[in-house]
Amino acid sequence: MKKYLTILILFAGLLGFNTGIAKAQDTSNFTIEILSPAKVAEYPGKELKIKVKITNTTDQEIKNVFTYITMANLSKNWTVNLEDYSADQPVTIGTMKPHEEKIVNLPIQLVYTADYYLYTTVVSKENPVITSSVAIPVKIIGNTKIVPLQVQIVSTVMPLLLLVLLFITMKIKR
Amino acid sequence: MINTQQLKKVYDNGFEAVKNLSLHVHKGDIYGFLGPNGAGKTTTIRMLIGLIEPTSGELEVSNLNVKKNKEEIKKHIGVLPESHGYYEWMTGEEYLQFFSALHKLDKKQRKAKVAEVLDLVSLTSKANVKISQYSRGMRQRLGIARTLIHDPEIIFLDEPTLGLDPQGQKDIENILLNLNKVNGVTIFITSHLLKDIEKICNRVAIVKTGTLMEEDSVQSLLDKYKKEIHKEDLSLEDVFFHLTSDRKEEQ
Amino acid sequence: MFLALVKKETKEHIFSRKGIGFLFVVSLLLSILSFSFISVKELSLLDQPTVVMTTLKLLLGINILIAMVIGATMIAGEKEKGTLESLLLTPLTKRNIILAKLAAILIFWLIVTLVSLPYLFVLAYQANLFPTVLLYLYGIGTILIISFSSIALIFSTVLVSTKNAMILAIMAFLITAIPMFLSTTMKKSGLAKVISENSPVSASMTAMKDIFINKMAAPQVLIELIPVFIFFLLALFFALLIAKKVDFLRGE
Repeated sequence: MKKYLTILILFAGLLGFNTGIAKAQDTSNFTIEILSPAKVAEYPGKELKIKVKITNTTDQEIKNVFTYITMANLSKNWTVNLEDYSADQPVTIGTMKPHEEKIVNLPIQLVYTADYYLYTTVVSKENPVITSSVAIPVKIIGNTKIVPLQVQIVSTVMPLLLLVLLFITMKIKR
Repeated sequence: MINTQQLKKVYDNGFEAVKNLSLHVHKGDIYGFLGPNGAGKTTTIRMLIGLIEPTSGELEVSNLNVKKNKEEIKKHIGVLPESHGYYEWMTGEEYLQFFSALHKLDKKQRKAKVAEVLDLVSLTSKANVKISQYSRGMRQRLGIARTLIHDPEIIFLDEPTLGLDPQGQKDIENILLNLNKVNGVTIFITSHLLKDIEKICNRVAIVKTGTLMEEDSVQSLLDKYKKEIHKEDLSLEDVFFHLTSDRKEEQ
Repeated sequence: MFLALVKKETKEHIFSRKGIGFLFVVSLLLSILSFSFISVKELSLLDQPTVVMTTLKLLLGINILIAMVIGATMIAGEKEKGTLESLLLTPLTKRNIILAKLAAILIFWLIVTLVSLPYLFVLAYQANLFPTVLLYLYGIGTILIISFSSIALIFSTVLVSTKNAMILAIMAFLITAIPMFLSTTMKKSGLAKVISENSPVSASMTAMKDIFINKMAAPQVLIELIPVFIFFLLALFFALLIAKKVDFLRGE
């Protein structure tokens, strides 16, 4: 009996310990949610503000908190250089009190035509667990009116004309 | 026409190319400026035409102080440098048209003047041929034509017969004699071909290591050195070697 | 007199095999790029402002390089060929010689822009961009060409060899164009930051983006172009100052 009780206590202790480790790995100190817009479909040049709600879910004060935008280009399967979109500057929140909510606007300007996922991320220097929001779809619409035939004609005729001129010049020189 | 007083040129590296040179060229002279290599002939010409500044001394060309009238001088002189290039892609006529335009001749004047100078140097038949196809003699004649395009009073020719065959040399000499007699152009010429200088020049100056050794008419020089040199049929060449022979000994 | 020299330079460097060869190369590159915009999948997704911007960048880059190569050979080439002395013996001043050669390079640039207009027209078709393209091309483009050509003429005047003048000219262009090849992070600090903030090439590219994509107002764009204007004034000033050094190869 004593033997079985000891083994049970040991297992319970291990479980608690493992649960502790699992808890430490899964627990984020924040929740972050994009309030608006829900989705974007606009032309290049448009400036937007992404409204984000960040909540401190712990009972402690968290210092050195900041948030930023990230985008993934779904058309090219690439990351995005946010400097081109004027969205490379994080917004510093500073210190968040226990269970405090903060609403922040993150600016972005739409530039290159493609389909993207846009999400926001919150980070504190005190905790390596990074929290990101669910992404919103962003479509930057191409509005090209280029007529392919016109381009083909110009691309073919211009070099040919200059080549003929070159041959004429070479013949005259002789 | 050309006067220099104590003309001196010391280059940045300290080399004294011309030392206290005093020359006098009269209107209508064909003046030979003679000396061995490195005597300062090209440096002297470049000072006279205003391309380089003298270190000290005065110089006057066509009654103009060269230092104060560098741009004005160019209207009165024509220059054929020793080593010079041409725009090979131009024809002879285009080349002269270009320089006549640079000398501000108007369109009507240009056509007539170009035809005239081409005729003077016997290049009329080659006017529409590209310079790249010209022989050395033809290029020299074209160069002389260029010096005459704006009717200068004086022309400076630095080794105009260099590298030419005897016929080419003779052609150049005839052109220069004709220019002087018919057009009254004063000619300042440097050359190593002393026999040709003796034929065409009426006055010469002989320089050695930047210093003037003699300046006088050819005949006066020959008379002066007859007794000293003791030679029958004394030539300008003999006088030249007599005056510059110390250099050979030093070497 | 001045026009005669401009005419000669134009005939020698532009209406010649070399000049028309350059024009053909520019046209070929524009053709390849334009064709890519309609045939390559990723490029065909680009919006027209971006297409036009990319074309303008190529046009400017290639032509600054060509202008510098031509400029680098202009004085040093005359020295090597022995034709400079003859020019200096005419009533032309040294400053006139420099200005005439600069004018010839400018004429080359204008001819290149004429060749590029059909391309830019079809690529900016119905996007209401063509007037802006012309303004940028003939405004900022011309200023950049004059600036870089002046730099090339300075090297050509100071150096005896056309080869050395060309190498230096190309290096000078690459140094000002470095920011285009650097990553965003590198441009935020150190020497790269200094070059990026002061480079006329960098400033003109930023202005291009602000004009075509961000649709910024003219006063703001003009402020961004200050490095370009300063570079232009300095380059032209030094080119005219260095004209005194236009001199033939000496030696007796």
